Amino acid sequence: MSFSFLPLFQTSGVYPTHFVIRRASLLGLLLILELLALSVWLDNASLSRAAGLAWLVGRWGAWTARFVVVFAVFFVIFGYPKARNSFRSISTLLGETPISWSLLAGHFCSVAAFAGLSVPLYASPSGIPGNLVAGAWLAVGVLAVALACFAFAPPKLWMEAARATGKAWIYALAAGLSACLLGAASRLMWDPAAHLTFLIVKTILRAFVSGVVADPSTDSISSRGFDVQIAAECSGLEGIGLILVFGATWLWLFRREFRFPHALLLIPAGVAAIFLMNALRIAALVLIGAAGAPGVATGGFHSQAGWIAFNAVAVAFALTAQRLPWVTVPGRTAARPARSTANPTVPYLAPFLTILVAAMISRAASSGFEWLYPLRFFAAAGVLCFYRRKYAALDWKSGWMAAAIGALVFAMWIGLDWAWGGGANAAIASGLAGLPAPARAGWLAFRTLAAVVTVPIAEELAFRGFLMRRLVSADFESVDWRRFAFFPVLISSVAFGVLHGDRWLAGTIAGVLYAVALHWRGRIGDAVVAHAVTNALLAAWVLSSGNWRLW
Amino acid sequence: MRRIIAMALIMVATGVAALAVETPEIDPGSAAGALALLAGAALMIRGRRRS
Repeated sequence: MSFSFLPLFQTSGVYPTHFVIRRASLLGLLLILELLALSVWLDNASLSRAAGLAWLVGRWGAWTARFVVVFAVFFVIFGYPKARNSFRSISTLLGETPISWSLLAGHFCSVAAFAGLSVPLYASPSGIPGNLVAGAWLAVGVLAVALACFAFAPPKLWMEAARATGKAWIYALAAGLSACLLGAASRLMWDPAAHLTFLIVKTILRAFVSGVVADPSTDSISSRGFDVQIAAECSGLEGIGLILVFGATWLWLFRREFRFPHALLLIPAGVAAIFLMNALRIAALVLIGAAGAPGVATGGFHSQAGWIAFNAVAVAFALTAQRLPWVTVPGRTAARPARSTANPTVPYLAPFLTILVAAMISRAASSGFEWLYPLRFFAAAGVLCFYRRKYAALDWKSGWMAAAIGALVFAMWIGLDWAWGGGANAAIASGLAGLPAPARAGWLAFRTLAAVVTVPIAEELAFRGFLMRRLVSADFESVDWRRFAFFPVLISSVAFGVLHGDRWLAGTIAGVLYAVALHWRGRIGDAVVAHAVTNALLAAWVLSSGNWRLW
Repeated sequence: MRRIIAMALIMVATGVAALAVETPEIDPGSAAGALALLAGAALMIRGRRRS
């Protein structure tokens, strides 16, 4: 096994700015994880009755956090291309400058003090003591961020980076302020947009079913006793915001491939499409509810259909931008390959993405208990079967170490579940209880088969086979399976963990251990078997104990 | 590498926009899976260019 912790993001040689990317990513990851933990722990609503500085924290805290995130994203987007040459020299200096562990320790002490001050601030936020606590809380927060920044790069390099990026901070500031102002101003458009949505939904429904009752004074529509009120928040503006962000960022990042101003027309087209999709979503929701499945309509369909619509429009946007000759510069976009298998990415990602699509569909068709879960198994099995010749070239052998790592991950998973606890998954228990015996056995069989067979193969192909190696080189298929690079392992494992929801920590640790299994002998088979052993033991645990929340 | 960074930026920007507004139209609880699907689809679309 060849371990090397230095050549992160290497391609053919040392990537010119890899130390900048590495340090910035570590800093960003640290601050994002701390921000996420704080946002889960602290509820600004508890400061709504506060006065003075504490009130300001409660009123503007979330907006400030949003502004900082938007500013950081746009600063990188605008600043990185401009300062790439300067970043190369900064990267060289960073390579010679170790992380300051003393400043990092100071950061963690500041975070501890910040957490300590959060308790009295969010418990009794009024009066002079409240203002003092809020002031100290803000000061310690700023100190924690500054110490983290200077731990990963000394102040002189920050100054040099600021000079090199020129006016990027002004553009990022403008973008951050605009995003916050537009976000706030968009609320003024909620009511008229909701009424327009109501009119479109009414037109769609009356084209397909009779007996539709519509009340324009409340934007309510009912059919066969199923009543829906189109609230201001359901106006479709969030989808429009999403597609604006996605479309504008896409066009900007790949701007050299597009013909302007032609390509800009894709933006209003995307906005119109997502607005209509939202109306279709509500019309479908009414039809599902009126057809006798109100639980599905207001449950799974309501939570999934918005994302399904957005993903459909976003993918259509990207495909149109790539293939429509009218918006592209000739010769800048490559022709489509003769067969889909010519794209090396597809066999690695398609099974996992198919599972995600199947999951969205099966959740959309459920009202709690995901009765359509076997769809995930059959969809993934079909795609794996389709690309079986491609997979035949991979090394599927495995050894005892893989099984041992799988068992270790299982023990870790159970241990963290025991330590953190959590509510029972009553939906599976009640859903299974309501099924006839053969259907219950079939559901459990396919749930277990998916966990042990299709999910491990699909997830290992996507996260360890593709993403981890893709972070090492654009030509990921040429990357040696035994080559270990710390940062690709960390990023692919965090991505894997995030997809496990509130079990993100267990998922991240599991991802690292599966990567170790893969690197041990350089075989994808070891990672798949380790993953399959974990899931098989979890399935046995769940089936024997009835602890459905682990599923 | 630049393509990966570009995809990550798009997803971060989209995710921030999704979580910035507390409305039931787009369910924040399903954001991770949905954005992973979009990121994967985008990588596959862009991956075609090198074939």
